[in-house]
Amino acid sequence: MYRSRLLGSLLWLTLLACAPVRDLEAGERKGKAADAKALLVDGLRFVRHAIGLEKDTTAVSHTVSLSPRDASVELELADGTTRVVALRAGEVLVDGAPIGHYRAGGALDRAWRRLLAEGAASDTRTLLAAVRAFKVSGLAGDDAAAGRRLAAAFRNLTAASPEETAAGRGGVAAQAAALATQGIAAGLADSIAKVLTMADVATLDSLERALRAVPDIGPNIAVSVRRSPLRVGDVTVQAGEVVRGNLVVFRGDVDVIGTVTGDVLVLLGDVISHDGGLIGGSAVAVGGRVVEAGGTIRGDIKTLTTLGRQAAAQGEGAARRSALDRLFNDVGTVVALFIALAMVGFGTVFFGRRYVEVVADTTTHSFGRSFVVGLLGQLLLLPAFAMMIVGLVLTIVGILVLPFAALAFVLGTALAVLGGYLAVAHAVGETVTRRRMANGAFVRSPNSYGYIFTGLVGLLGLWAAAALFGWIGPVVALFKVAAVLVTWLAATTGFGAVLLSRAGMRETFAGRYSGEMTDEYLWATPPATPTAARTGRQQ
Amino acid sequence: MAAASPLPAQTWRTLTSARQRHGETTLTVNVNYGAGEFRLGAAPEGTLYRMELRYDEDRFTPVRDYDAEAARLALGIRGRGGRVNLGDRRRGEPVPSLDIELAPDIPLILDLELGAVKSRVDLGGLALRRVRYRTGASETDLRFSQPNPEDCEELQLEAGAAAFRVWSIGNANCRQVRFDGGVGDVTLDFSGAWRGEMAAGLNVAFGTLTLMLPRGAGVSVRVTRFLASFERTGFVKRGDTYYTPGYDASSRRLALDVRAALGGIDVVWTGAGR
Repeated sequence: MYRSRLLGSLLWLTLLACAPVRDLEAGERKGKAADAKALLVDGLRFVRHAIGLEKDTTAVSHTVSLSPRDASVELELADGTTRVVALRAGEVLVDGAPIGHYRAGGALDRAWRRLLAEGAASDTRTLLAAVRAFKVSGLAGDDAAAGRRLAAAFRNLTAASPEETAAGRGGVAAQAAALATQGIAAGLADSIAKVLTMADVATLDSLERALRAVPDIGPNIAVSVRRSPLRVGDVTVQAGEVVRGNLVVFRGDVDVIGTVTGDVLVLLGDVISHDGGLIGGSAVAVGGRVVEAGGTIRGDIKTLTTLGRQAAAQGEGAARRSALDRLFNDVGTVVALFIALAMVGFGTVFFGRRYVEVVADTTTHSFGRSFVVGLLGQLLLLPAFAMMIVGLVLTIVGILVLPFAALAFVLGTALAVLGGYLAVAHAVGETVTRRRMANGAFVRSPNSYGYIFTGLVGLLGLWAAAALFGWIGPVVALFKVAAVLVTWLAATTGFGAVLLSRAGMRETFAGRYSGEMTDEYLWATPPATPTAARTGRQQ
Repeated sequence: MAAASPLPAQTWRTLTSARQRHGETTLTVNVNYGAGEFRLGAAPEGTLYRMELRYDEDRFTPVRDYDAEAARLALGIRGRGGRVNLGDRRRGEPVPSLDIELAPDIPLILDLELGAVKSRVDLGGLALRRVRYRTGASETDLRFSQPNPEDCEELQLEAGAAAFRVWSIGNANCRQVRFDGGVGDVTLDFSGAWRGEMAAGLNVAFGTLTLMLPRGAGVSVRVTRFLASFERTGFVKRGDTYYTPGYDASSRRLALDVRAALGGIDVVWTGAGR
């Protein structure tokens, strides 16, 4: 078998050597030369195989990959090598090296895809046999030339020729380099997201500006800082690893044992060029040093220690917010919250004054009861939610309304808490107003809007105090704790009052009397009521 | 002149990978699959594994790592980020899928981690030493259609919000079975060719747990429940444990320790002659 194929190959070689080449077109000559080369390789392999020099490799695994973009088969041999044949983007590739062109959707493409689709379902040996027998008749142009070279490649598919191996290695090396670059890019995004703080950003900005001002290396390095991918933390370029372009590292050391084709720029760290390492450009350490430990640095070596420290200090300074900024920010937040709550409160009063008043009266008249109910309500919220979910899940129909029910539950709870809080603000405002009036103060228009305004001023007062005195330092924590407690107390009581009063529809606990006024009510009745006004007019 | 065809919204790729057996004596298999349809079964003899993966290559990267020295195989997909395309059957789009076949003739340690997956897994015919099956919001049909020739240490099952059905657990030949379930409808069928005693710890949070128990087997059930019902027909209570009549004389025994909250535990007797 081998002998007959060897003889065939040699015969082909002889014929090709004797054939007149004058009238061949350039492309054809190139194609024939490639065919001859493939046949020569084929023949030499069979010679080696026949005399026992060729390793008898077998395929142990295969991977077929099909998509509109490409169609490829990868065969892994028992000795660990991998052979890949792919039709991709108009090129026929063997181990990553192009051996010809094909027409997308043409006869070769269609036959190749059919072979892989059918062969994918087979075991590796069957697929290999099918691939070896792959032959398409009636091909023309590029497809024909590629088909011939594919056939030659398939005959030797389980044992790489020296040339193919070299090409494969080149392909693998290129692929490894590409993967390394992709890996670095992915790592960069990840590390930047995880490690870089706003202070670091400020430091980097300072560095970039400072470096631009350095006359000898400034502009280029500054551009590198701005445009090159940035790695954060220690980086090692391993032996055999190639980083194409510049390597910019922030707050870490760079150990170069492999190759960096561009500049290595370390911001606040050292560059260490180890034995065997190669830096194709300059090695620059800002806020660190460049250590030559046997490696080669083809460009300049620059160390800018002071500049780095200054930039780091500036960065930290810039990142530190001034006390005044914080004061404005915190006070602004409280004011915005006040305005938002007041607007919601006014809206609630406008559309449902009666309900707000009933809930507010419930908090005033049944404060303890409201608080306890609110507390229990908070504790039971989660179990109630879970039970509702389970109940709906268990009834098959309920699954359909599950999302709406869950949303309604969350929305209802949020509204109850917010409404309750505003009702407490109303109650606080009303109590304060009435007491002021009882003490003889003149209040132009005592109404629910005013009560909510006054109540919110009272409830948010502690937050305002915490914001205003935040610059003092740890003492402000007391204000904050008090503010949190008061807010929680108000929200809990309000929530309880909402539950007790059925969102303002039940007056049972609101202390509202339909009969005659009690002493308590009379005490609370301000002098500026219509009754008092009428009394004044009568006099 | 040929008109340019519109570019597809996503690029579906079909990846088929297979490996022949080459002296392996054991294999640890990790499968990680996030969304789509998943099927697993036994491969023909001589095949170590075979995988057919259909995925959106703009969103996912296939995983097929085989470490011959460690005898470890990792299969599945890894997301690249972005919106996950689960296909649309109404528009005739095929859904993403992963089909795996594993060697039937070497001992396997199987670790399956599945997300929102509709899975059909038949571990019958595989030589299983340990199985861990984790799934999120899924519809699972896991069966042991044939007896496991290997002694299995543990069958560990975890399901989130799922319709989870396991058939013929007796064929798994595992000494220990563990099930942890979140919300859903769970059916555990303990029929099959038992070889000895089996202990099962079952934790179910919300939902219905249906236990399919073989008539004639000695079954003991210890139930810890909160707002959950338990169908105790066919059991006799001794202490805090329920026993089937003739439990003490039975050669095949199954000890169930069930913890359930908010739901129901139903018992269905299978086979003839209890």
